[in-house]
Amino acid sequence: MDNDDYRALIDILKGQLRAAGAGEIADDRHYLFPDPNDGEPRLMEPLKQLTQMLAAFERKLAMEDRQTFERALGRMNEVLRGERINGAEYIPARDGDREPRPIDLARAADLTQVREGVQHLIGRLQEIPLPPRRLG
Amino acid sequence: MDRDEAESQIIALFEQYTKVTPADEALLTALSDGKLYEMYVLSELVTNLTRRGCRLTFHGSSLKFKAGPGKIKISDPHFTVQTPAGLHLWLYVDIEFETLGQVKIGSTDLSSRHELDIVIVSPCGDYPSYTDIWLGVECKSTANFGKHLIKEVLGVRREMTLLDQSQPSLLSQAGLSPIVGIPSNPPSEFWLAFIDPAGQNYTRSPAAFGIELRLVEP
Repeated sequence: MDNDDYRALIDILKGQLRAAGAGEIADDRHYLFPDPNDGEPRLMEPLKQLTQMLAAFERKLAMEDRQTFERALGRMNEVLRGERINGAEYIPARDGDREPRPIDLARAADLTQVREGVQHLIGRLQEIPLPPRRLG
Repeated sequence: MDRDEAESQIIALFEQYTKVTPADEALLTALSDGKLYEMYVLSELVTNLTRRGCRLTFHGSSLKFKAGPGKIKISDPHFTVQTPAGLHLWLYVDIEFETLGQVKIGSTDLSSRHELDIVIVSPCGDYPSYTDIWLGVECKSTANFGKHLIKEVLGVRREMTLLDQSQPSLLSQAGLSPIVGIPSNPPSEFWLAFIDPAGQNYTRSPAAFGIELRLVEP
């Protein structure tokens, strides 16, 4: 694959991220770096931007994954004295005089397979020989 | 791998993600608010305090993370932290504290309190004062770290302490080890927890204000 292929894949990934409500990750400003010659911001090489955007998506998944809930609960219960923690709830803001309905965080989806899939794809992309750099 | 294969894999991953994503709007709000990440950072802190010599006890049945911050209520789920010196402290989530500026000026407008995601405080009523805080944690559940996060925590830190000569933190003075030096008064500890390794490029200047940047990856 060459840089045009990677740019096309970035566009596809951005579309998917926006459709999934993760448009923030698609924003190019996260993938800028200062040019060492003039200090002006420049976009990363397309392959690097593509893999970093996928890595950011994997971090988003980690923050929504039931495994994160279970690991956190397990770590705390392992060291606590006395009573164990049974679970965790989110209490939405009160709406008028209605009591908010607590949300059980254990109902988060198990995203293990999706996360593994993203990591696998990043690994595969990084195995591909880089396209030749344009000189001059 | 060629472009077609990569494209198919990207689309398949998002289809898989959409398929398992819960339909409950309120649950999605909780997840996008970073409450699971906050819970994971809490487990990091609980583990850290135990390693440093504390004994922790949980009071309640389940943890409760609120959409908005509030005051200390003894009936809310919380932890007690017994330090090696035998002091008993409280550990709560989603709490507002009375700021240094408010205490100095006595103002009562909307700037008089700021939120911390996780706090360790000495036993106190309602809203802890900045002088009651032993450790505060801000959890930044953004997939991409940005400099604006540093600006935010510098503002919160400014309302907790004044720069001073380095001294052992309040927790260190209560026997926790290793000793942590804090260049401010009161010498409360302060963590900025983040998930993007890029945050590690921003550690040095905040350290001058006693802010510790911690990469916490679930």
